[in-house]
Amino acid sequence: MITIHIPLILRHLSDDAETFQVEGSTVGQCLEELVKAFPGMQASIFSKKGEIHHLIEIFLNSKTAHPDELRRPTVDGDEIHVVTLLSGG
Amino acid sequence: MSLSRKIAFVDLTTGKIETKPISKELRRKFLGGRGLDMYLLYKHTKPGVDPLGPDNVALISAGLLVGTLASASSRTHVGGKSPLTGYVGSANVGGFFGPEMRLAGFDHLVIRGKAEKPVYLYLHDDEIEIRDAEHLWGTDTRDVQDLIRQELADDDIQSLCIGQAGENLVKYACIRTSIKNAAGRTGIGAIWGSKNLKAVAAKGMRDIGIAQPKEALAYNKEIINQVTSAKVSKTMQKLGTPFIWGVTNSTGLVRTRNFQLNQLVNADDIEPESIEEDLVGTAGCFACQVHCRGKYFIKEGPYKGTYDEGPEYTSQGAFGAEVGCTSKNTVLVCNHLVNYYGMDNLETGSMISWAMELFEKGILTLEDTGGLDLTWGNDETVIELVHKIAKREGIGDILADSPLEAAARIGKDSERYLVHVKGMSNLHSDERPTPALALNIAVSSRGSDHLRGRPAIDLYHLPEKVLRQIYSNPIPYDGPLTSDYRDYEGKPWQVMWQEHLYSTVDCLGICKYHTVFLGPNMPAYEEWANLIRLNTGLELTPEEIYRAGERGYTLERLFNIREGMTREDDKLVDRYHDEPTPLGLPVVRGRFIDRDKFKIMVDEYYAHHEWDENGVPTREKLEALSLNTLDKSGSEPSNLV
Ligand code: SF4
Repeated sequence: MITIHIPLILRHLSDDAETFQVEGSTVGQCLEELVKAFPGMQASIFSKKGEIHHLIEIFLNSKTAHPDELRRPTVDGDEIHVVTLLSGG
Repeated sequence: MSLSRKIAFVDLTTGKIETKPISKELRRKFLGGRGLDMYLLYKHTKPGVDPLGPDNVALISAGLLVGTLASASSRTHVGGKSPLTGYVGSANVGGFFGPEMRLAGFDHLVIRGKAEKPVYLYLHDDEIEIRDAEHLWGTDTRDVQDLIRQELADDDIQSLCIGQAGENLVKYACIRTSIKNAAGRTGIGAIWGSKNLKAVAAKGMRDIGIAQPKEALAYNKEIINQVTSAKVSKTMQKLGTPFIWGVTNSTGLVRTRNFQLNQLVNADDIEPESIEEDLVGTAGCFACQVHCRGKYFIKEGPYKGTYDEGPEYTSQGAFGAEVGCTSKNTVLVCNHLVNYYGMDNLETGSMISWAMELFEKGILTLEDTGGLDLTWGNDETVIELVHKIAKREGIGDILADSPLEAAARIGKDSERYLVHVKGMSNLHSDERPTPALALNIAVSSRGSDHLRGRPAIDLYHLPEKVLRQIYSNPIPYDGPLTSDYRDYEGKPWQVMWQEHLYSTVDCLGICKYHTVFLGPNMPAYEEWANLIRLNTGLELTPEEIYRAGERGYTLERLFNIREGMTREDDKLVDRYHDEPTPLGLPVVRGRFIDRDKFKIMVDEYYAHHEWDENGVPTREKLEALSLNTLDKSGSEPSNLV
């Protein structure tokens, strides 16, 4: 299983879940599983074109997955962090 | 050699100009820019100096790496004792002036006295001319720069200047260069106005003298790649700082109607995507590849067709959320007007929103405002007030003073509604849900300030391993750290660490948007050590660079203490503690800053700094930083070289 860490400001869209376990062989597949479970997250994580939203950065095992984040391969035990670029706020 | 640039001491009363070299020892201790300016401020002003008197200094400096082959090395620092707060006056500006000043042969200017008539300085070929500026007095910040170029018949001249706001001693007048670059905070423009100093122009032809040019160029390519490949830089390139607005407002982190709400509703028109529709391109500062500044023409109303640049995130808050306006046109027009007159956008919007709350509460009446209706969201009134403040007309004369002075003039408990720290207004961000950010503004050396120590990435919810990597370098830290922005634990360390980091980059003259202010993967001490060595030949370890930033920050603390600041000033206004946030997402709604936990944070913050329980740097700390030439009071660091 792969663990996705949900940032605080999206938890109202995940029934307050802090993490979510998924299966998938790429970051993209894992995130699709997440938004399938919590459809409200779609617009916050993905742009209309289906890319990662410009205010979201994905970290895979504590390293940025940008660019090309959706195609990054994932394996059992990986950790994905959805990070919100709220800088300066 | 880039290190051969000089300090010039200019006395506007006598016309005397003296130059001195900057010793290697001083460089190693303070690097340059803001840090060295703080040393000069401490050394060349007497305690209690009148900020608008001839004995205050107007400081100008280029950071150590400015004009070199280091990326985003554009920043100029300006300083003096602040007319806004009475404490450290200090602000930082991008654009192209700093490199030009270094090319002209100068790194630091210490300007004192008062010219009999308006003047401007012209820096070129290791010389400084004091020139007549009577014909320039009364001009706005763009015209004055154009007129100087015409007069000196050189389109390449870069100038720092004040507009009418500085001439009229608006207490938050700023220094400007190019179309919109602003050294915005602490009212340095009023210091210049008090000295009859309209502008400082520079044209440089001297070689900077890079220590290892080939290697510096190659290394800088790596830095450029590091910065431009970061996700956040791409977002900045597209939307500029307004990108922050959408998510902070929808989350409920934006103070609205002065401090009554924490979210602006029906604000689609000022969303970054809406502002982007009006942009005709982006502009950037010297040696920057990010180009975060929008270019726009105003599309409607009396200012239709006017060109300007921005707006920054700050203008969305100042002329949108705080005053309850939801019109993009109002944000763009007010952004233009503060650029034109030379005023700090943040302070201007905050003073107007405070006046609006006073009007709502009946403390200000139509009689006081000269018939102006200060109802929330009144676009015309907000625009009119910007004019009135700059010209000190009617109610604008009161609002042009510092927040505490204005409250004293109005009386009637009006101070209670000010949102400030140490007499400087808060950014429009609402820090009640975020203890780290609240601590940052409360303890900052120049008053409420997000650019002095904000751990902005605290809101990112980064993996804790990433946080640990950042905050335990270049000096070790194994205390608590948490990526939950609601926590109080570990935050004092983050704030102190950020204070030293921002102090360091201001000494180097590098833009903060190329640091961890924006993203976790940006250059830091290791990279700066390489840049310093390759560009200047100075060998410094990452820790020595960190300590130089710390040294400058400690001097700011010492200056403030000398000018009367105590622990009592490291505080938030009561509303942060007493009024929970009414709006926003569940994770921010109903939140306030707990008084007891806040006090513990301040204690821990002092302890990390090695300051005593009153916030005074200990003798041991001063000795460790070589700020140990002590006078009787035990806190006087001058004459160290
Ligand atoms: S990121 Fe923006 S403010 Fe910073 S140097 Fe580049 S253009 Fe200037």
